[in-house]
Amino acid sequence: MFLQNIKQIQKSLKGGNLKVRDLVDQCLRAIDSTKHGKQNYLNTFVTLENRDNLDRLVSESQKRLDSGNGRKLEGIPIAIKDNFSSNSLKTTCASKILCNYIPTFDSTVVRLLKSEGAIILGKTNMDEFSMGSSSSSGCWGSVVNPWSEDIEDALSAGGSSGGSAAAVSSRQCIAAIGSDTGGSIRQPASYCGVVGFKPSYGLISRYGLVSYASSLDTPGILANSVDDVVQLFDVLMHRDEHKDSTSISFGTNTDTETTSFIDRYRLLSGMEIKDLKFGVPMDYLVKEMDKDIIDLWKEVVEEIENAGGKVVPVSLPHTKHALSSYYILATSEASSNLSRYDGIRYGDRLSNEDSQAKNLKELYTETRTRGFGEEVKKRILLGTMALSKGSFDNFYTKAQKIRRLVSEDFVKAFESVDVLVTPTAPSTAFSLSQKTDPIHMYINDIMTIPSNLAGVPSISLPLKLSKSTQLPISIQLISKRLQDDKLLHASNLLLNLPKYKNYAQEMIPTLIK
Amino acid sequence: MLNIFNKCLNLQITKKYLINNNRYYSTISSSSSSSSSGNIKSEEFKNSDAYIISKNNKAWEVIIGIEVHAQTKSKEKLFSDSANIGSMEGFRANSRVSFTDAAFPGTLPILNEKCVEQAIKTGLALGAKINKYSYFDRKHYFYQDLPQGYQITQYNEPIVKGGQMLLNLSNQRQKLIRISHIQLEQDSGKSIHDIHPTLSFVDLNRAGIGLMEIVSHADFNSSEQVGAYIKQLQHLLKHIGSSDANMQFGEMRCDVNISVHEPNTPLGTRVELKNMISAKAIMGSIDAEAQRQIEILENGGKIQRETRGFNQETGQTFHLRTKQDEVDYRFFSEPDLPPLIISDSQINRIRENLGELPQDMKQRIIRQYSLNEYDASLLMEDQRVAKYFEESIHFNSQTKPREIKKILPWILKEMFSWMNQHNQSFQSIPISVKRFCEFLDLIESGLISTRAGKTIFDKMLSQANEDNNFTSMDLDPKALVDSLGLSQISDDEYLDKLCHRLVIDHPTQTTEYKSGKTRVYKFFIGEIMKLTKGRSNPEKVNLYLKKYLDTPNVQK
Repeated sequence: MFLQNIKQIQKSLKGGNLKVRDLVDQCLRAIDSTKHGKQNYLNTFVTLENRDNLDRLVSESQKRLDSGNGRKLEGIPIAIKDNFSSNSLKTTCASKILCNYIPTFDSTVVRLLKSEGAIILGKTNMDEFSMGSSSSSGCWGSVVNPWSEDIEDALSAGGSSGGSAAAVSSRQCIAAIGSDTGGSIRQPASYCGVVGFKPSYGLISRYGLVSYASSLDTPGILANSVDDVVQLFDVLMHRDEHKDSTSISFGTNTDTETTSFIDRYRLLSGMEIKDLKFGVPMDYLVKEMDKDIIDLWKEVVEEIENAGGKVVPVSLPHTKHALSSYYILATSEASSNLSRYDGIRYGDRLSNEDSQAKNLKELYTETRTRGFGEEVKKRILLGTMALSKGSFDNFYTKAQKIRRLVSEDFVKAFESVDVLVTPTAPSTAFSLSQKTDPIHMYINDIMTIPSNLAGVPSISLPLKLSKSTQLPISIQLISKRLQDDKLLHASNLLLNLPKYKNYAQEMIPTLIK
Repeated sequence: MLNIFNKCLNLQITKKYLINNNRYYSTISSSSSSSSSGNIKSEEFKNSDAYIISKNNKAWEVIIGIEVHAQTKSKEKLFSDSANIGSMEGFRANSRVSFTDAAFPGTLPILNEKCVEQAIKTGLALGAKINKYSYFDRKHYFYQDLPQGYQITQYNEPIVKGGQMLLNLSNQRQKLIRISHIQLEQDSGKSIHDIHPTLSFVDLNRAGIGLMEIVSHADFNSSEQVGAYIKQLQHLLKHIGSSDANMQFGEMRCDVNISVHEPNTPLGTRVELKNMISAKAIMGSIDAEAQRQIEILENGGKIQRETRGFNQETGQTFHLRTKQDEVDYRFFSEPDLPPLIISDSQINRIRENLGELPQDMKQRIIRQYSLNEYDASLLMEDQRVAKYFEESIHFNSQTKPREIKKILPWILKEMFSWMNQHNQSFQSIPISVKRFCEFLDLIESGLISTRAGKTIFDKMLSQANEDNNFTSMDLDPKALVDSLGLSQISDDEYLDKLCHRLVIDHPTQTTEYKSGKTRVYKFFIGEIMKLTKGRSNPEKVNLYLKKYLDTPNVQK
């Protein structure tokens, strides 16, 4: 059953061969693996929905299925990253400052999933406020990559949506929601061997997603197959004009607004590899890249050509500046977005007895010093510096210019190709005990960041295991803005190439085997 | 965390309707009469109100720029769908607050089209250029009543650019003030420090209400000009309906930038004046601050860049904070909102619906109804009054228009004094145009006297507020006349007989009258009034009294 996709599972559910109860119980058992004798042994979940609510949701879904009224995602267990607001479920962003925050409303993503019958299992662990690439900077500790040899010498699940990636990889849920600001879905998807999709900016509403960097934050999907990504995206792609001003509709004319994503996606079903033109951005070939990954990249190009697809080199000349531009823009917006956690309304404030603060300013300082972790403080300081009077023109304004140049690089590249082929990350999952300097960590995002700056859709596809480390390695596909349908179709074509057709059988993580 | 808000109480503010009878403001003009000294030729400036002559007989020029914050009139707030209650009282603290207003994590701003329309309307009324591509910026500072930790404003590209206002000053003087721009921005919440000894309370009902910040150029040279500007601007905003603009409720607030320098020398250091709650306080603060700066400079001192407040009791400004203490606001463009793009058709539609502007309307009614300047100004205090007046001329009048001089006193005297007495605005007048015209026609037809009319009118007004409930009662004047028995006696036969009888019964007075002591005529009128309880038609009484008094011999 674990290798089944949502469509197949729903068929079993509708046919009565599978009960929602059994499906949910399998997920819960995977979370609290008896084999490892430890509850939540991968530390993937921060909060689980309580048993009574789950029981109620399970029986409601079962009733609907039994009466033939199942909705698009009826009974499908889904996990949500802990930075999406969920009514009456704690939403902490893995930060001490929000450790007791329970929203009273659903983010649009959660609302849409619920409205189509999905069962929200709980909230997944992450880097604090999505700031990081390891899912180890949060107040709830590190997520363990299920591909680790053993729990004691654990590997990082990547980040910041590491909890979601690890949960999908270890079959603790059928699919999960993550958010991607600079690669936070794709990089952990790559480390954990799952599919990670970041759609075009604006296609999934940000309402209720706790902001890190508003102009880059993109809600997205982690799943075990492209088909599952399509099933979820069909539900989530929705213009949210009354809640999110940056939300847009798919397609440029109003005729297409009524068409569902899945209908448009199906229109492409006749398209084959040979009908597509692929581009290889040589600017992404960085010196930090593992040999196994370079080999896979070459192999994929060969396989595409063998299938009759055209592959050409393309130039994205401003890529080398993307990383620094990103770290200025993201931290600038973060320093602004996080200023609301001041202990007055939000933020874990010390009681009057314990507080040393003598005035309002000291109260803010005390709350924020205690509440934020090191990485978050670092980024707030960096962003505050970039926005301050003396630095604004040299940092923020320049970074915006680079962002425009990076976007223009993509526009130009997509004049001649349909899809770009690149690796997702320069290496496989690293050890959690490994000490890495921040610059090295930031370089992890080097191939994912440009897509966020340009708002173009990108997907990470796990294709095989590295020969040297036996860990999953992935290829990233990128397409033109608002060609998410073409990107997903190309992804399916790539995964169905003879060489990769059976990738899914290989992608069973060590710790759950 | 949010509990603290719910404990908070609402501040009760008493509404007060102000008629600005104080139409002409005095300047700190050149009352000093000593002759010129040194190389400053103060005589040159003596008769110009653009200059202040100091005690040392030096001429100083005051340079003033004004920033007005006016709350936009809209049902909802600038970026959320919670109710914009503006200045309305009686709402529980934090009862008009959405997730977005309280900056719940994950909430996003959605721009309210109505507020955009109000800003455009205001821009058009001020003859400004509408910026078809504007955008929002974040302005950062920490304060307990600023939920997001930043204010969304328009720092770089405001929605309105330019514009002007021609000030009408006393003695037919005028002054043109240039507007720099109008920006749309969010209001903050309210901090309340005076209801608990150790706790401060925060009420977010106001947080997120739309503000138009109307920024002038530094074109003002006196408090008189500033007073006229505030009054005219307030009037304009009310007239076009873009803001209620009542200063006493904080719907309109005003910051002043002021500096002084000697003519033909570089500009002085400017000081900001904040937190004044009335036009009077603003003018007072300007006069006081100009004097303070002049005194410092004349004593060889230097002006500090600072922000000052105004104490109305002492009439002095006082230090609030120095500019160095101010935070770096770290402006950057708001990533949660796309640029605000306005089309020509949108601008044209708003322009077409703008209607007659106050200055134009005032000139027209003066012309059309031969009104004097003062009466026209009173009518134009509130556009609704002028409209009411105009409607009552022709309302239900098939034949000829009603006479202006018979309409005006009831509005300007009776209605205005009622509004003052009850601290109500014209909106609360409980008499519809229909009833008002019926009332006017009762007098015109002679059914009631003007005197009885006053009683009826008072009744129509006062019935409304017996239980402090100012909802419109709209009483039928004819029914009141009937129930009070106030209809006028116009019966010729009856009045003829009455006058005849009176003359016969008072031969002494009749003789006096006939001998030329016409003062005694009043005695007869008094007697008639007594007998008819004031309801006799005065014209007819005159006619019949004279008939008998002027006849040589009255037959019994």
